[in-house]
Amino acid sequence: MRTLDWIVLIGSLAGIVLYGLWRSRGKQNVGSYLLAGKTMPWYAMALSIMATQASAITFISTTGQSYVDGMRFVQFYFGLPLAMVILSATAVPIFHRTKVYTAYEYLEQRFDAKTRALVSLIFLISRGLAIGVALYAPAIVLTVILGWPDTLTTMLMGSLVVLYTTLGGIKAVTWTEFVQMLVMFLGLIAALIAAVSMLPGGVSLRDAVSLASVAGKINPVVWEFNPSDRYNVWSGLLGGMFLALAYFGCDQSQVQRYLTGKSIAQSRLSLLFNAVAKIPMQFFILFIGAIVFVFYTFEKPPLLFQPDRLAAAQTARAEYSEVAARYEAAFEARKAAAWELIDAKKRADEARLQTSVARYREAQQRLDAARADGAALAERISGEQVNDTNYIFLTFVTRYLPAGVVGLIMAMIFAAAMSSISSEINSLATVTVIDLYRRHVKPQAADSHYLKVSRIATVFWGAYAVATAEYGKNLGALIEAVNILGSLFYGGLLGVFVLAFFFKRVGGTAAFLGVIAGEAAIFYAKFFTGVSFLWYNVIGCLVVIAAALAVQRVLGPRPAAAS
Amino acid sequence: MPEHDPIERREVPDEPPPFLGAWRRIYVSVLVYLAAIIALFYLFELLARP
Repeated sequence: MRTLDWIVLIGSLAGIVLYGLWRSRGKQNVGSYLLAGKTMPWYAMALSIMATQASAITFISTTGQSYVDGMRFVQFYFGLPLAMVILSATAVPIFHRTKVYTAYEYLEQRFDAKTRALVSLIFLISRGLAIGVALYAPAIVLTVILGWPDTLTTMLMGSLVVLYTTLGGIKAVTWTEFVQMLVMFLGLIAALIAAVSMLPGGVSLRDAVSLASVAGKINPVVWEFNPSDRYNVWSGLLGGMFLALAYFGCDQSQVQRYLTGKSIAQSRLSLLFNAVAKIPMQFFILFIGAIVFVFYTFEKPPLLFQPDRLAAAQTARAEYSEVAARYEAAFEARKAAAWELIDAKKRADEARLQTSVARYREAQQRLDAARADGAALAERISGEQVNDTNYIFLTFVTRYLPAGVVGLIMAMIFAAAMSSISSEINSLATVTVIDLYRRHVKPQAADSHYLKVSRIATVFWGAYAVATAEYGKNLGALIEAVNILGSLFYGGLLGVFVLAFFFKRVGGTAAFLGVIAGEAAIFYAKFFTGVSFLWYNVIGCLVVIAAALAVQRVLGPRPAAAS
Repeated sequence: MPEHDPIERREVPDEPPPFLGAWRRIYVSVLVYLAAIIALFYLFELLARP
């Protein structure tokens, strides 16, 4: 990081926080603190929803994923527009008309207090488990790449987020996310322009796309249905739709964004903007990864991008030298084949083109094999897993990009981390105050009292995030386990909301027992079967519905439905 | 739920969409867009081949 990078980074972060605080100035009450007084325009909510979903790891890891596995990850988002249409037609008008502060408050209106309390607790547990890791995850990468102490990174991000979230409430969160998303867009455009301009002379963008295609990186549409393959059109449309329905329809960190809308139409537009913009944005991020891959066709990449694991592998000198020599030879062969391919393409020499494609692919396979051997060596020496994907993009940025652009991309990563954390703190505080404190501890206090408690709850969850982030450094590979743990709860949440919206004859007790049965089924699938965690949403949702319908049948028709 | 609700609960209006006249048409447009973007991606994949 050079001086200009520091100026851009600090200037961006300070500007974002000050802008959010300025937009949220004025007298506050609970309604303005938690729902912005329902005054938000669609564009602010739209970018806030997008920023909440985009975490630092999204940008760091997605580009790396494209480098390794190609662009097919974009299919994961194909179900999102379907979910947004369903939610715009169902959840958005229902939540607004019932004038709720949280999605779970609606469950008491529809079912009963115990169902609301159960689902609120499920949300607090699942989000509470994830928030520390969300704060710590980018620190791991920034620490290794930049040499910053992880405590500094988590404290810096945590303090800034708590400052504007506590003082300004959801207005500050939404407007900072609005600017944070703009910074992310700027960072992405700068990264792509820089990556393309770093390609060697004689390699056009079209040549780069061809090379990426030959290496299997331009694969955004996979038509074959394979249940064991995570990313294809069909799993994207179906699995992606279920995931997006659960996330945008049942998770308070997202529901609260569109509950701030000044009309039902504005809230719908904010979701539909995401339906339209999210897929191209992910395509763009993945395309950057593909271009970075082509850049490293001509500039030798390290055997492993994760510096500490590379250092571990290098300690086994003889074995490392053998792997490194194979890697070097494969890299030079791939580079030569790439130049030959470009030349053959320019001369329209079909026979030579086919030969060079075969040579390029053969060299790529040898390169991948050497990398895999290097990773296995590093894992054996260090005793820890190699997770190279997260380090590819940041290595490229910090080693090759010009001053100023590095600062902008660092600002993008910090903005992404802060935006998802601020929404989570804000929603955790809202559920704590509205669904638990006000409902079960002190129901009849003044508005000013709830405002004060909301601020205290925000500071509490912010401090909790920083504290658990510090603890998170000991979790290591458990970060992935915590993500899987989060997916244990979405199926149950989705199931109870599907019951609430579409099964009018199901009452509170049946819904309550249905959620417990759904969660039990998910935990059974997790611990006693080999089912992939992506299916937990579908399993949980279906079991909640089936169990609730069965229980309601035993209990008989509920009074309202019977009349 | 408490009988007296001390916190403000604001009602918001429902409005027609700013274009296309009806929400149903907007939803159909989004679905057509999804089909089109998948087709475009596939076309890009085909055109990217050398």
